[in-house]
Amino acid sequence: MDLSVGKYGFIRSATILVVIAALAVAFTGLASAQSTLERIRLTGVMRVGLEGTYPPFNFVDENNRMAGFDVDISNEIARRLGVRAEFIGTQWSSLIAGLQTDRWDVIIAQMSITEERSQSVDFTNPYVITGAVLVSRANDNRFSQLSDIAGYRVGVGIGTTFEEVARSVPGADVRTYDSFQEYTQELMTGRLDVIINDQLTMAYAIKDRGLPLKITSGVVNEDRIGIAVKKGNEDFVALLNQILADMIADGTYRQIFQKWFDAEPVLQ
Amino acid sequence: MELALQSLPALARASLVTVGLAAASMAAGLAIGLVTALIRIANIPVLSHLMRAYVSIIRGTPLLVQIYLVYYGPPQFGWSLEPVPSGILALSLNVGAYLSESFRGAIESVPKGQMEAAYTLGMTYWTAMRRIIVPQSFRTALPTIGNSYIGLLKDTSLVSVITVTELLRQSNVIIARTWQPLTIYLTAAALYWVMSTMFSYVQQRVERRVSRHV
Repeated sequence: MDLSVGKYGFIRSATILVVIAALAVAFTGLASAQSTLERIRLTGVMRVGLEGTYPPFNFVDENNRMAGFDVDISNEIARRLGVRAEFIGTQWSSLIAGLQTDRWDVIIAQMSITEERSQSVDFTNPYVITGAVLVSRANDNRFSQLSDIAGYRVGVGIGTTFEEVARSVPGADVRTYDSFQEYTQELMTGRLDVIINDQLTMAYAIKDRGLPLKITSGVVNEDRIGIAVKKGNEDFVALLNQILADMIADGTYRQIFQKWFDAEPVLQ
Repeated sequence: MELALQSLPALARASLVTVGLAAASMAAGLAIGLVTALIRIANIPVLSHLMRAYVSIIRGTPLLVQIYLVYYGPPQFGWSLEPVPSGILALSLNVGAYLSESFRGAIESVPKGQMEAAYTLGMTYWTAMRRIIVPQSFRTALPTIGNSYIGLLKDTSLVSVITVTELLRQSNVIIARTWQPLTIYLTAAALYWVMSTMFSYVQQRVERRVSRHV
């Protein structure tokens, strides 16, 4: 019985691989030309990409349903579009990839509008204006302004605006995490000295869960949160902007905001 | 403890997803592995080189990268699979490559005389493979197949990165709400352990059964 394997050799295998790769590239032409709005209207569903682990903006409640501020905003937008919203939870670092490959139609997940992200996706006008703050353990008074983090271990979410803010300080020992629970936990256990996150999220977490932490600075960076849409959907972005403006004007937006936060929304 | 019990129903439900992913991927992986091994052993031109490249690529790249590629790659060409099928596809391709090596080793360990004897009885190569060689190789392959399955069961946790709510993703979702990572991860770990142990028991029974006439 002939059990030998390598009669032909590497070059032949390599050639075959190249042919397969060429075929794959040839299929690029088949990519669908359907716009996001057309697809939403056709299917009657607006698929929303979010983390699902970021209370009170988006999280899974006790009944295993997606809930939170972003979810209420999404449902209201869907209602005004005459469709229903469907929620897909994934980790932060995959949100933009999923939008670009049509896994979901919009990202409504507290994503700040930045120049860098605007190169890969289009943003609506902001639907939340908020700010990043420093958070430390409750008995720690070392951090009152951004420059104080120099020389300390700073926890932030990977690929967030908080990471950019942290990295702007020379000498800060910046450590990145997937979810904000992870670095908040690290702060509580003492493996981090300070973290940077959104003021609304942190205020809610500290109060709701009684975390032994405190917000220790004013706003160190303003975040303008937008809805992200796949590039080349100007009609959809314009429509979303119109819906957001209507929601703010008729008071629906304020109502949703105050359901989750004890504060007046910046957007009036 | 109370939280562990409270979250148990949700975690148990997610465990079903985990078992389902593992079982479906294992079934497909076994088929892929056996066919790959047979093609390589028979040294079929072109095909056997394709299979060798396949095994080399899968074994030479991280499973996490493979999962991302299967999920985010095809949509660029206008063809997209839902998260669960994507996960099963990536896991089966992965486990199939490893299993093909188990099968190849097991088949090659069957003494040469068996094939020669089959030839003298007038069997063709493929008949002999099917009726004489492969059945004998299964017994040798079983322990490594079991090993692969237990590895696969835990590898399913990687599929959480493509939006599949299996045991790990469900744990993270509960942690986001409760802020109790230790309790929840311990519960999840216990569930993985229970599933692996149950499978080990089944494997033991099967091994004993196929060895009973040896």
